[in-house]
Amino acid sequence: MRQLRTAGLVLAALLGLSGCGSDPAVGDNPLLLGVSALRDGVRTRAAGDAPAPALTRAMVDQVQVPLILASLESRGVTGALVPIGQNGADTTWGTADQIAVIMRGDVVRGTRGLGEDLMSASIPGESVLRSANSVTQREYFHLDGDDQTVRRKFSCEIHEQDAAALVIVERRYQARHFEERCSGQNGGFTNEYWFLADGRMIQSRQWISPSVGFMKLQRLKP
Amino acid sequence: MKGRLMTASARRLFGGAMALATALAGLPAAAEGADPWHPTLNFYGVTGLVDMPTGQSQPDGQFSTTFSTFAGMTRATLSFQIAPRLSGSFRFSRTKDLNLAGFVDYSDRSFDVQYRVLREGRILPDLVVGLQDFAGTGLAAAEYVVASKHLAPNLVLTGGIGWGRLGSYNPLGAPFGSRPPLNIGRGGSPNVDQYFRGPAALFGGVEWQPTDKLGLKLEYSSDDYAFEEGRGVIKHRSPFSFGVEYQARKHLRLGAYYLYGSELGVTAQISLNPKDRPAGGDLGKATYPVEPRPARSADPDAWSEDWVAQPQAADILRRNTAKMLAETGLVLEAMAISGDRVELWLRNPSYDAEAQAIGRAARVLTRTMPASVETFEIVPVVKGMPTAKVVLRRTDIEALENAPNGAARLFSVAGIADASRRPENLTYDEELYPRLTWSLAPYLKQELFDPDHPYRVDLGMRLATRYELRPGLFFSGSVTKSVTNAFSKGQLRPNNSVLPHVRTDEQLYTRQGDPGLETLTMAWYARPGQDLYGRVTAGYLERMYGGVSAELLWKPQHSRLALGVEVNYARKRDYDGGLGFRDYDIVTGHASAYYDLSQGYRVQLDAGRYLAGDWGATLAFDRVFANGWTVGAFATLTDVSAKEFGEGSFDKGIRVTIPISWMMGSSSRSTASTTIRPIQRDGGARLSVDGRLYETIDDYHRWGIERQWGKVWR
Repeated sequence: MRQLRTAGLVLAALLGLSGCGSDPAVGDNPLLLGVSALRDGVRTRAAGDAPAPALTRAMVDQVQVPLILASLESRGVTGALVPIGQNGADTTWGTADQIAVIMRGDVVRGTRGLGEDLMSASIPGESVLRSANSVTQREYFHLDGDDQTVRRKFSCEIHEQDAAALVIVERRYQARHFEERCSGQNGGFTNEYWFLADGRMIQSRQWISPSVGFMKLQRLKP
Repeated sequence: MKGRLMTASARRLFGGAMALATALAGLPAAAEGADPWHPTLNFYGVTGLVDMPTGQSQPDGQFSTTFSTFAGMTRATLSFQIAPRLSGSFRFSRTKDLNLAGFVDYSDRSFDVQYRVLREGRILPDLVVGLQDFAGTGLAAAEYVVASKHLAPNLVLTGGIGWGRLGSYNPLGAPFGSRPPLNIGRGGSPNVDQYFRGPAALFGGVEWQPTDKLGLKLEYSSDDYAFEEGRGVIKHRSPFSFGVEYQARKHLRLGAYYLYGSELGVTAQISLNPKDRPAGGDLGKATYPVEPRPARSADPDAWSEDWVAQPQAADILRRNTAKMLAETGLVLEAMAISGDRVELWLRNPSYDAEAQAIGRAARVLTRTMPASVETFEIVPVVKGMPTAKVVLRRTDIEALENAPNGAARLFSVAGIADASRRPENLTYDEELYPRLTWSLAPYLKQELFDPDHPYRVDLGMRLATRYELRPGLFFSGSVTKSVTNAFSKGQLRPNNSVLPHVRTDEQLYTRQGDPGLETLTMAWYARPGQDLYGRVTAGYLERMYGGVSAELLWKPQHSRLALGVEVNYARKRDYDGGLGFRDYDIVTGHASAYYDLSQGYRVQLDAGRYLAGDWGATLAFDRVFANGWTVGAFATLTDVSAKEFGEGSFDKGIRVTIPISWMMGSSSRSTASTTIRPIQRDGGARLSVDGRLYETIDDYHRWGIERQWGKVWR
């Protein structure tokens, strides 16, 4: 993306720059943005060199609120989610750097701040996802590059896989493993869910959008 | 109720919640998705093989810049896919040692258009009819009909017939009669009598893409380059050319070629699509979620309207809202509140999508307003003027925040009306006025097509200041100082304009006016009535003119048509960038009609008197993307004859605006924009006034809000 940003700046330079006179716009001056884009690049590289501090159960135990660990495979990043809002059955979870994930129970129905966000979705109930051989219908709403809503419809089937032993931050779980195989007009994806014996979802891997890909979610605190 | 006011104080939901999260937080970076393969470009920067076009076209909206050079012939081309079937190009070309029209190295500008008649099907090929250099000096003029067909998913065969340049090698005859001779004179007018006349010849070739990144091209050209060969520029030994191209980056394709049996050539194609965001999407931060009200049965007290009687209630609610809006990058301009409704005048310095600002303000209101307030009326304010009034029911906001397709469903129950009427109890934020702001920032200016320096940029610093006295009344000024002094070098060009030098003196301003006072103005904006907007600007309006400019615009919320009038008195400024004036002044002005054609096209017609005292009209056509990109072209015809006008015959050009938010993926209202004219003369010239009304309010109007409504929950 850094290359594309650079390409964008070169393009801006070719086209000439807008002159904005009042102070809020100073930070948007493309010449200054060039400096910050470079800084971001340096920071990203530096972060990649140093291993992230390992998360321990002791750290988790200190937290007094529900906690989910979320990772984006396509970007190799991980963040902690805490609840920041409740509207009916839907909970909005947020990270420290103000990325939000909207879930009904543990099923994702929206994201904010990831780029090509999942703006909204119709989703199956959580109990259906642990009923082998059931079918679900999903409808996703994304924004395209021109800010227009794109609707994507999928039909899915639930398949139970072999039970799995999971280790999530020093704690071992025995979980039932389900796959939700979805197909639509332009391809498909497979979500995965791991349920504990009491019916709670402990881990999942859920599709967000074509460019964001999958988000992996692990419940650290109920 | 008291509790309600207490909880209304802004809370930081993100961040502070936990320190652990900070250690885990990673910076997201958009994945670079693979670009679907699309047709490639040729040496003329249009969809094609090596020097010849193909029957294919680019994806709708594709915007490309191509640089190519061989045999001392260098071309730089901007191409735009105006509509799925229609594309246009603007080209600057330079031929070394051509020795033509008094120049050793001959420079030329040209425009092309292509129209795709057929789209490839199982049997039918893609078929394009094109005009090359259709309105220039005609040196590169050609017309063609060309077809292309896939033989395999990665192999395309092309065959076509050309006239003009493209009918010069091994012609078949002249099916539509002889071609009138070239008139390399002023150029600029369409050479209609030449189209498809004279000898016609066949051309063709194949393009094979063995891998995603690699392309191979073989071409049989119908251009004999006899004119250039006669002047010793090129040796044409063969009609065959070969090339290899490599997709180095998503947006960059490089090519190397062996042309006409004697010449090596290279190209660089930079191609992007406004509908394809480099960052994948909007990486801006999330905002506060909706805070739903408790059920009325569960907490009847919360729903009471008794708070209205509290003397300080309105002020406390306004301040709480202002504070929370500020945290989301928005500004509360003013507010009027009653028991069941609130009207919020909202200033948006942060988000390119007005709908996003409205959605964020609505969510803030769910956190600050007492439960009895059911109707939210959000009024975007720009330069002190209220524009649209977006009416939302709080119940709908609560119900649709996370609902499938919630944005479209919210729009269907939202109301949009004109907001010219001010509510009686409207109270302005007491800290907004008066306000002084300033900035010091680098600037970049470019100068195109100078015979000695076809492309020059000047880098400098601009100090700008702005004083907002009261809503709609601003004083502002700016001074600039060049750092690189790029424009002061080289020869002063002789000025052969026979009209008053209203624009052709620009080189004197850039040479003598550094450092200089760029602008120093007083501007007043107001809503004189329903659907009406007004502006008066006085002072040093632009680098070359000072004076007074007054404008009135009629633009109803639900009308695609807007009408405006503008009258200016302008006096030419001294070259030295100081406060003095020269002895040229004029009353100039226009009546304007704007029509939003929907589907992203806009047409504008301005008729009136121009700076040199000439009377005429300007027609402009723009493709307007919802995300803020615009690409357009304009042409002006006045009672100045082509001869009086000089090179180019009449004023015309193209203009491009790119939003910074599109480039960076972050929230911003800034844009980078430019206007490119083949040549700047004195006919058809207009005064440049900052903050004309249509461009100022368009984003904040019904169509501007609706275009990006999908971002209301973003």
